[in-house]
Amino acid sequence: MAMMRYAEALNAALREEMQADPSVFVFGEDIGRYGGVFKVTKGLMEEFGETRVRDTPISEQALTAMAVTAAMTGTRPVLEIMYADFVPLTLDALVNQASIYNYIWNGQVKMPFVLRTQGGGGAGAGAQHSKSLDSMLAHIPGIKVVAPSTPADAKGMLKAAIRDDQPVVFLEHKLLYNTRGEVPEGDVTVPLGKAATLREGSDISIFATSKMVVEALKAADLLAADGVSAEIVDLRSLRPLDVNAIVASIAKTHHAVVVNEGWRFCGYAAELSATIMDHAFDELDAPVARVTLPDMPIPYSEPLETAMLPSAEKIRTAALKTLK
Amino acid sequence: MATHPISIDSAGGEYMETVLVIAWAMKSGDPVKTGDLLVTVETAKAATEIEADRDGWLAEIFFAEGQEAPVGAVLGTIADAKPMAGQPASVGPATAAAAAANPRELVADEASSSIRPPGSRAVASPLARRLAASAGLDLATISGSGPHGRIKKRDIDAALAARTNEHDDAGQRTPTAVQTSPVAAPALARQTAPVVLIHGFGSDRSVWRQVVPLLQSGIDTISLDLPGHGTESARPASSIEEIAFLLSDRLEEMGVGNAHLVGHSLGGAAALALARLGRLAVRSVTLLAPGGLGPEINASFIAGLARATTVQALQPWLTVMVGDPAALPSGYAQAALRQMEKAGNRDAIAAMAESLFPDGTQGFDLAGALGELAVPTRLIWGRLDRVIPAAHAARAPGFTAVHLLDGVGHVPQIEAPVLTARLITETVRSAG
Repeated sequence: MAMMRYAEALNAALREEMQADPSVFVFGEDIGRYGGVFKVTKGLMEEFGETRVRDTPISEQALTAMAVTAAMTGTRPVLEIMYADFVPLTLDALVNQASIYNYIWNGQVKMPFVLRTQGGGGAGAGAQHSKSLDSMLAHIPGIKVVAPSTPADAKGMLKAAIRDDQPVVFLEHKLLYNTRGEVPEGDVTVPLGKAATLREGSDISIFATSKMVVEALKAADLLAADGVSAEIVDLRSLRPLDVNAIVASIAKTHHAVVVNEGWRFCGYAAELSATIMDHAFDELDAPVARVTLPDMPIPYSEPLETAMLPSAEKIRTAALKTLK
Repeated sequence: MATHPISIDSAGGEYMETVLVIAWAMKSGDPVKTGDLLVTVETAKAATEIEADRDGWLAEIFFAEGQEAPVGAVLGTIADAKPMAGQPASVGPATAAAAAANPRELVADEASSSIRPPGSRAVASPLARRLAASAGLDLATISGSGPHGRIKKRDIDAALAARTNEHDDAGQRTPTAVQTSPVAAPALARQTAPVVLIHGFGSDRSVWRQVVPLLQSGIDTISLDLPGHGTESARPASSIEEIAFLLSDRLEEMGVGNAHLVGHSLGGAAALALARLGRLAVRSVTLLAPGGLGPEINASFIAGLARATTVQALQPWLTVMVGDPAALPSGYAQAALRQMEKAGNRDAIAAMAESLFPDGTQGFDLAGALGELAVPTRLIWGRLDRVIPAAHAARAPGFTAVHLLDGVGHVPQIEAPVLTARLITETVRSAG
């Protein structure tokens, strides 16, 4: 085990996969010479050269199409999109190419690329650089969408994503990059599509991904002081979703709070709520509660942004209301 | 018997959440005249007297003296007719009945909850509903402690605990009454394994009428109605797994821990799903033209069966069902239609057809479940079956005995009852 920052864990995963497999290459805006805005690709150009680590012009649309064609022709590209807010520019390649080529060509085409991006609020980055567009991505059948919350999962899941033959969108969070945690050494992968129970509890289940897992864990501490035993399930993958883990937890607690940093309407939290009702309706002792961003742009003003973002305190309030 | 709520809506308590019951002016069973003082409650400003708004008898008291009641709650009821001695006037709360006998024994936490007026729909969480159903509790007798009086698991737990205590006190404890866990069922299992007969889509358990008396003596039978069918019309199922769960629950309630399964058509698929579930020790399996062994099914037949509202419309479909129309007992169409016309049956069956056979295809594959059976297994199929092709029998694994019947269509139990009974008997006997 080594203590690592989340960004360092991602860097280690990229380095190890590039060392192990010459078909892995990375590209994106300012990821080479500069080492990436969040320093995830730091030192890679020095080690692997300008062919496998490419600085590109600003054109997310062209970059994603490039990832698609490179993946189809036998390489394993890892594309960095600097902000999740720019994901809409990538959607045509994801919706009309990456996600369906395997299907329309009867399995003859593999699509082993990873699209890394980071989103989320709390950094005072304003309405164009703070969004969480998980729902928009998880809506597309044929691609995987994952959002690890710990450095260990960040490393293990990025390695698994690079080796996956399907397109994987890898969602990071700007406020997670500097969080630290133990990371197993060596070639350890974490399977995509498996949730992790980070804290066992008996009264209520809280489901979250990415930075919201950190908030949920804080909420569990607050709730413990309220005399409530909360179970925290880090879903880790938004799609495929570990439905069994969700149902198992609800079968134990009979109460659920679902947390997502994205917008509420048609959002991922709504999908989770519906999934719970599909599979565990008869286990529910109260309606499922959603904690999400309100349906508004994210303000630049720090107090206003703080007021809007889902937080430990909001999760606690929702949990207590659910348990009434 | 009709009852009328005694409400405190008009008691001047708008600015308060609760009122305090000071004194009842009469006891349960006393006659009441319009204008009689029923109960005195303390509100924000003063004691308020609630008078009877009709003639009748004071039937139930839900809040005893000294208790707080939420504003809007029903304090008690007035019945139109004199209640029977020792009984509550209506299907009223059990606790309220106890309270009527001795109001001061009401459990304290009931004060903060509300009991709905008789006849209104109980608001309960899905979990509470399920627990109440499996414990045989009437939700109408339970007060909800959740938001808006919603009944939650804790309320069911409290009601079950109260019931257990009641039984303990009376020295007549019945453990089955409070068991909700399937784990406890084997202890109640019968000694000899009965033959459980499961009918097909659109039919009901009476379809085994001819076969049952022909089985060798000493063989016990239980004919079940499928979910959504016959007596179970109120509880349709949308998947073969759900059917298996519901059948398994019912067998557990009956104390059946092991059984020989006989299933026809959809019931055959249900038998396989039930065996796969593993909650029941299966001794042998006899399948008559079962579903689940291939995608084909006669979609027009299913649709026609579910849609027919007259004998004239149903008759041609019943003809499709059998090899020789003369094999159908006279009046079969009328009887089938009568069954269908019972409340809810047609809707339940149509809904099940849609979810079980989407786009005219069998939406489940149970060949794997059949292959996993480790008990004597027999497959019976009419060569003239026009509902599910007899060719599906070719998917039977090597250990299965396959009987293809000449001149028989989709329902061997009606078309060849003697042979069917003989084959079921042989399967059961071979299992020992």
